[in-house]
Amino acid sequence: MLSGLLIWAAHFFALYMVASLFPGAALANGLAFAVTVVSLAVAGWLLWVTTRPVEAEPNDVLKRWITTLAAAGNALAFVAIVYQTVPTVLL
Amino acid sequence: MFSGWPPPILDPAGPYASAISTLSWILFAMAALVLAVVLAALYVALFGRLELQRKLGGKRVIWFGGIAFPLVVLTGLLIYGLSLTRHLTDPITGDELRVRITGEMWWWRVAYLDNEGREVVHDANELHIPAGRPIVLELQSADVIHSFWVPRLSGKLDMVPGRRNLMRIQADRPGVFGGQCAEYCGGPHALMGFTVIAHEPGAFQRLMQSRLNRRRAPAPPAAVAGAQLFEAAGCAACHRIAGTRANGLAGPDLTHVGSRRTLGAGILPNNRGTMMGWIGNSQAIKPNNRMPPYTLLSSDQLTALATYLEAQK
Amino acid sequence: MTSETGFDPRLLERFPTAEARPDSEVDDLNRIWAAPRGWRMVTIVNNNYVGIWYVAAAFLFFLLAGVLALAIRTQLALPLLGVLPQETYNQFFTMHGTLMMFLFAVPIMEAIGVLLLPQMLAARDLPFPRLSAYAFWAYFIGGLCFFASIFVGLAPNGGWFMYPPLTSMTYSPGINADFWLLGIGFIEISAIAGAIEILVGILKTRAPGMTLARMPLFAWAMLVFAGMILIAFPAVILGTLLLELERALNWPFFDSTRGGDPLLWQHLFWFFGHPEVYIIFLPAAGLVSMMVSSLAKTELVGYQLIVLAFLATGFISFGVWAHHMFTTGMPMLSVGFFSAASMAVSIPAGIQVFSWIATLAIGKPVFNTPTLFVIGGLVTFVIGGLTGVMVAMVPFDWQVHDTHFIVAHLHYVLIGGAVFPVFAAFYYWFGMTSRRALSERLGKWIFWLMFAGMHLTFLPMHLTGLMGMPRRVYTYLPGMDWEWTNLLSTAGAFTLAAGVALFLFDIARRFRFTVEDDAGNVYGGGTLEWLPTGLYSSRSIPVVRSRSPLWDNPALSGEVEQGRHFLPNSATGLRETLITSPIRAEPQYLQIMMGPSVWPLLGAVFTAGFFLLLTVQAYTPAIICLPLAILAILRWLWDTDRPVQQAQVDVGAGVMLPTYVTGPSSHGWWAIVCVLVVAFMIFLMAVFGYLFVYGIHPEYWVSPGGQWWALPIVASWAASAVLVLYGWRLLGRDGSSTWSPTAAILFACGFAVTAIAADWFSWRAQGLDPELTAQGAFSHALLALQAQLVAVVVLMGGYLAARTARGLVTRPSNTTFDVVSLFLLYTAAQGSAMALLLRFFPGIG
Repeated sequence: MLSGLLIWAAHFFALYMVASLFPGAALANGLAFAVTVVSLAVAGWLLWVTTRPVEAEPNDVLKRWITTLAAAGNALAFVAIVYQTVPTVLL
Repeated sequence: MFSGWPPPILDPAGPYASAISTLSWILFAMAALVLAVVLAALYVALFGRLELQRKLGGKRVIWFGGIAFPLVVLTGLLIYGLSLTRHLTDPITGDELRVRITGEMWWWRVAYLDNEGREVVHDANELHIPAGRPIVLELQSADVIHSFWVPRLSGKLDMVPGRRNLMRIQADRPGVFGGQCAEYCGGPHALMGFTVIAHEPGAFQRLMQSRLNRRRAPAPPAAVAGAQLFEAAGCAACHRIAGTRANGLAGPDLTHVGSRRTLGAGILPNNRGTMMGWIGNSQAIKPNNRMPPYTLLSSDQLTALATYLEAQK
Repeated sequence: MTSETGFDPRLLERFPTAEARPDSEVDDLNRIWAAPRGWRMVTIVNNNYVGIWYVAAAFLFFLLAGVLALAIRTQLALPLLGVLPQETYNQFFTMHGTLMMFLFAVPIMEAIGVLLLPQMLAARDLPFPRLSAYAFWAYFIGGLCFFASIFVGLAPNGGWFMYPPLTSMTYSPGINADFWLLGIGFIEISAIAGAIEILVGILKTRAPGMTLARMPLFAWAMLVFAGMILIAFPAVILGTLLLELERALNWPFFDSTRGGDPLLWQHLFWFFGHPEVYIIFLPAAGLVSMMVSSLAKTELVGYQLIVLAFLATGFISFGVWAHHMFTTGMPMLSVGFFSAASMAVSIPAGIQVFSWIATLAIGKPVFNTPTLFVIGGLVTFVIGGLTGVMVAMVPFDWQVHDTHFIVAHLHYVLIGGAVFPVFAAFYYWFGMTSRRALSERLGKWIFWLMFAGMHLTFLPMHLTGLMGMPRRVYTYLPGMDWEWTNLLSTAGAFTLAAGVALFLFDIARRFRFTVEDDAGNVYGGGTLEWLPTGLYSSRSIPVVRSRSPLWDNPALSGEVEQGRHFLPNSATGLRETLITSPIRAEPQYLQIMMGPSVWPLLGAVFTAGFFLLLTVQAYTPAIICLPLAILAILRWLWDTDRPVQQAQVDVGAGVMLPTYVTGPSSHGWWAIVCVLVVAFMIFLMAVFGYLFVYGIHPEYWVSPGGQWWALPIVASWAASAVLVLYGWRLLGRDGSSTWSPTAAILFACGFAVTAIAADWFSWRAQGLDPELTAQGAFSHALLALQAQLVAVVVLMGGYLAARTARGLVTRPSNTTFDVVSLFLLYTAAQGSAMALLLRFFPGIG
């Protein structure tokens, strides 16, 4: 349920650490970019998993509800991670 | 339009402030647009025709109005804002005029640096700059956190103990620009002002030359009494006047106090009357500032001191 | 059908039962849940009473802070006024911010949670009633004493953000700053206690069938709220602790001349401070989401998206703290990250706003007072949000940061996002606790006065800021053109105050506290709090089959009142509630609850006494208060964790549930895990601080030497942990004697003491002086944190021994034993981590 948002958090704090450890270095931007690619891949994979039709328990309303919530969370996290990366390109 | 319009932030006098002023107008337009959309939607939701309300009453509206619409607006803003940030923080080349400004409780120590970074001219609460070229300010603090801000020339930057922050300002044309400490620094934080005076480059050169080559002429007869009193009354313990025995460093440098526009860090016009009032009892004017009241001085003595200080150009 | 716990969901089909239950059971419930009268009322722990006291106290602080605001606005009406002298003004604005944020905004949300949540979830009470009482009393007594400092001119004057070095001993030698640090630090602890209560309450005491997808949105909001408090508040607790240590013992955490850094405080403060804004906003958004649906008489549009918005807000708000620090000269790349996150966080807000608008569109809203407050709040909040997007733009922030533009922005957000919704909630839920509803006619006056006053105060203030007027100034000079906007703001403030005064008048006239014959569901809500209730909440606990059970099944109230759902009686003759599973809300067991007690009150009195006496430097009485507080708290705990005779009881329709459960599904386990999360966050923040100051001033650091010390220390911790695990096994083994498991725990405590003593001794031997450098200060602070944990461990060991002696430790498993064991395991883990970090970072030399 919280997978997407957790990835966002991990990504954010990774970026913060990178930026603090190597202030002003081009290395920071590169590292941040790498972290982002990984995070986006994971978020994208999760998005794919959560939007797949659930076959096992077609009647389990709650499970479906939680899966949709997770999917929306992943989508939002995807966008937020992209946002988070804009500074590494522009600054 | 009305008294106070345009406000300083929207009335830039140099490139750093004017970029932000443009950004401000774009932001105001964005806010007005979004607010109009929300209010229109709210109006329809409450008073609109039924079929319009039906259209508004679904999840799709949330996806469009609450997610897609802000996403487009924010993405544009983010890219613009960050590019501007980058532009405004372009690396400092190093051949700019440098001035070190130190925030003190509750005034500003100003030191002009030469090419080797040595402090060559000292002043307080006032900064002279040449128009049309960027100046780099080295901002630091002697005690608590202050924040340097002259809104018509640039955004603000904090003065943090143990750190040195670099900031650029530039005025396009000669003029006088007010500023004020923006970070709460206790006591009379409200009365910690600052003035920037931009000159034609030639005039600025002459001013700096005259200060660099300042030769102490014998005090004019009217100021002799004041000069003696300045040492006798203890002023010299905290204040410095170059070329004299007054060498105190706790308070503002008074070498050029006679030419300053203001007294008490930007709060009083500088004339003989205000100077006398300030020396006699600055605590009544700016409570809790670090200068003790000199209520024991007679008005003749105050006049003498003021006359002496007036001559320190 | 799927099950989370093995509970057969078909059992829920038995409800409502066919037969009404005897009325005598209601008499039993009334007797068991009866509240003490007279002076014994202070021993009440029931949420109906504690909740309303809590709301009233929070509202009192709102009024007090409001009066300060009026004084501030009067002083600023014209340039160079002398209404408030400089020092008084500085104290007033500091207190205004502090009271509003710490003593009004967060507590009022917890208070509304304590008051409403049990009814909304159809629980008999929150799971730890005595903890609620303690949280309330600690907050109330601590808050009043803290406020009283203003009458003697000792109120803090360093701003509600307390930036050092202004608040350090050098620049604030008086005890004013200590009042803030100790007073607020203490109130934070109360807030955390409340948050644990609310978190466990929401996850474990929902009515059967109320799955996560059917939970009232206020409960969702409070769930995120409580989680955020557990993560965010430790940062400020650690910050206040470090600053107080710096002031009292001269340990230089923030002093740049000895390798500390003033910006560390700002990071710690805003890591708490910005989430704090959302901590305030989320519960209000939960309230609004519920009210919008009721007032528009339709289901909320986009329930799931709102849940997503709450969760996303909860997460992203932890990535925005440094947007309060754009002007401090941080590395540009970090600035960019915080700017991006600050913009991303407005997307969840957009979801909420449009969901409310969509709901209003398909519904038929009536323009009564709560509707007006909801809509007024919505409009105001949107404006505040838009100025928020503006200040998230770094260059714009460089201009308006710390000006009155920000003052305007934050009041739009907080008044629109929290105050107006809370007033709407006052109207909407008033009928639940009062015999008479509030006047609609006056209500409209109140709304329009407050709404007009709010905008008159703060709309011109944006311009005041653009004109260059900084914040936190006690006066300003004439000739700056700031006069007329300031005068308008002052007029607005008094208009707003007139609205609040009128509201007070109406409250005084109409409020008559009651639980049973209340004015009722005036606005037609569809959630469980509108079931007929007594002090025990609803007579029976309904099976929930939708989000608005009362709308979907109009007969539900009758069924519940006839006892045709779960727990129509007191199955054990004691106070009890149904514990359900966190996701699907399947019944798990029956929790026996604590009744009235004076010990939470005494515990709060002595805890407050300890902190406040410490502040005024009355050390001897303070030291006396500490053990008294601990004794009172242990005494209240002594009554808990007592299994009853009946191991299984019928909770209605022949459904049998256990009355005692241990391990991960028990409410005690959840609570201790929450406590450990708080402890871990404090530790994490301390480690962050340790690394942060190293990063800023590495030149002050040395390799501490004596790395080999890590070996015996970590070995002791490991021994302690192994003994705990062994004790657990002994407890489950039939053959072992009564004392053997407890003895293992006691030995584990002994190893903990050995480890911390060795750690301490090794530092003395290395000669790292806490007063000399930030490294020394941090090493000692981490040690002190660990020593605190060990002190608690030792207390717990003694407590467990006492319970063992009285034969209160059940076999094969016991909650008290679990709690002590988990705490010990955590302490050992943290101790090892700390010992290694301090010795091997920044390097071996």
